[in-house]
Amino acid sequence: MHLPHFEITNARTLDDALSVLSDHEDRIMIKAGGTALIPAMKLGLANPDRVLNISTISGLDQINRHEEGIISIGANTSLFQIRHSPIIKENFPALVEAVESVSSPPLHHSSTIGGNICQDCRCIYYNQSRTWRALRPKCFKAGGRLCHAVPDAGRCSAVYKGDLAPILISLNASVVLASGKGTRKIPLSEFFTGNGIRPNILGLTEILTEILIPKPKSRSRSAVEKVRIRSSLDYAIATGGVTVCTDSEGKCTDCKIVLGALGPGPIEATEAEKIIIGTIPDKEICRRVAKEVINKIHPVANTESTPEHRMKLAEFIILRCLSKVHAIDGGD
Amino acid sequence: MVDRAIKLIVNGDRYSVNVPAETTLLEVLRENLQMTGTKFGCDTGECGACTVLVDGLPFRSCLTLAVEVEGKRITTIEGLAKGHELHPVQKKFVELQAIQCGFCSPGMILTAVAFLAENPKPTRDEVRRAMSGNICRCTGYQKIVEAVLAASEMDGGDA
Repeated sequence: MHLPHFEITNARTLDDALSVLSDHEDRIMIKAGGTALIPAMKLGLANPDRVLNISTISGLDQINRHEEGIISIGANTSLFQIRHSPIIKENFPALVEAVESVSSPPLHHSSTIGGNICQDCRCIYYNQSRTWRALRPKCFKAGGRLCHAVPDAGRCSAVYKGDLAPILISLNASVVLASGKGTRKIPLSEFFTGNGIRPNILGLTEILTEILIPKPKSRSRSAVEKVRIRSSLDYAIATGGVTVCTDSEGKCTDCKIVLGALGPGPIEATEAEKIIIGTIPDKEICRRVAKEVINKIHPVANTESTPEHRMKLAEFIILRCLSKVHAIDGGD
Repeated sequence: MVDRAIKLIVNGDRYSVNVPAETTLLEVLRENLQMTGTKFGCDTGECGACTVLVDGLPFRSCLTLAVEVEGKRITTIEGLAKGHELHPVQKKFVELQAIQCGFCSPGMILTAVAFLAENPKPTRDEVRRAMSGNICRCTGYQKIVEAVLAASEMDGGDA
């Protein structure tokens, strides 16, 4: 498959990139590692006139510890860099685990954390060849007026499959968005729209530049789980990240449970969190929390697995995560 | 459509090609430079058959634009041997019959070379994980894992 014709700008600085974006806002797309955009262009899912290559911007690939207890990760930081960063390994081992579960190791050299967060939603009726798609009417995501997965849905049901957003949200991460008018910092949980057509709030003239994560509190632990068809390469059919804090007696003082690949955006299971906060978690409480999680999700038949299977997986994933963070046997 | 003049360093030799911005490194290697050792597989970054080394790191050449690697050091399967002396990883792939149809072998071998440079004495599990991004439809992977482990024992990571 040849790529369609486009012009390319290799930005040297963030200011350059922002200036090019504001000049071409309608028909330009941002490329970092290219592992998502290039296949999408080959399949005809993205057709920009111009590609803005931000991988050439120097300084956007740094991991730094700041005095106020924040760790920042530049958006262009590769997944390989994150896997091997002493700062990340020391503070966020669950994030390293989540990174290791993305695609396959060779792709970690080109894939970036910013690109992973900003990835588009996917659907088995959309991420297909031109020929395959041409045999069916256009769906919402392709600019049409129906959803093949849920014909009476009235909206796009494509799935956000980013592996890093659930654990980052559970760690209270924020993102910095830059535009010609300045920067804005927003919690990562508010970055996602829950709309399969346009999964995040990134404006046409904005670039995600940084991910900020508060240093974990003492007695805080995190865990991730991902299930996919093959143990490498594949996107998740269900994933999740959990972060808990406990006091000196083992009582849970805070808990964030976030699911991924089960809807058009990451899903925080707030009702389930309430069950565990204030308790000294045991196997039974973890099971109750995991059961409650499935009330929050509504997977549909648009991935490689059935909705029923993914409901069971969500329960299993959260039970495994809670068992890991509370060192309780029974997550199998 | 305006072509760009791009200077590439492939296997130590300098080349200049005129190609449009949308040309992938895979297309330049196979079509402009006639280096067909790099294989055209899935073309969407999944199978790993098109893997080349860019400054020593494995990259999918089907997902890499030629304009992005200007001035970088590219190694393809054609550039791995030193004269008639095969690279240790190549030797072990041959000796241990880690090749059947051979289509995945260039990508497998280059992925293994980069991995052994990063981790010269890996465990079996580490090899399996490192090679998991390259798909082979013939061998069942066992011989490939054996070959990478054997190459690690003969300092395959030093090249």
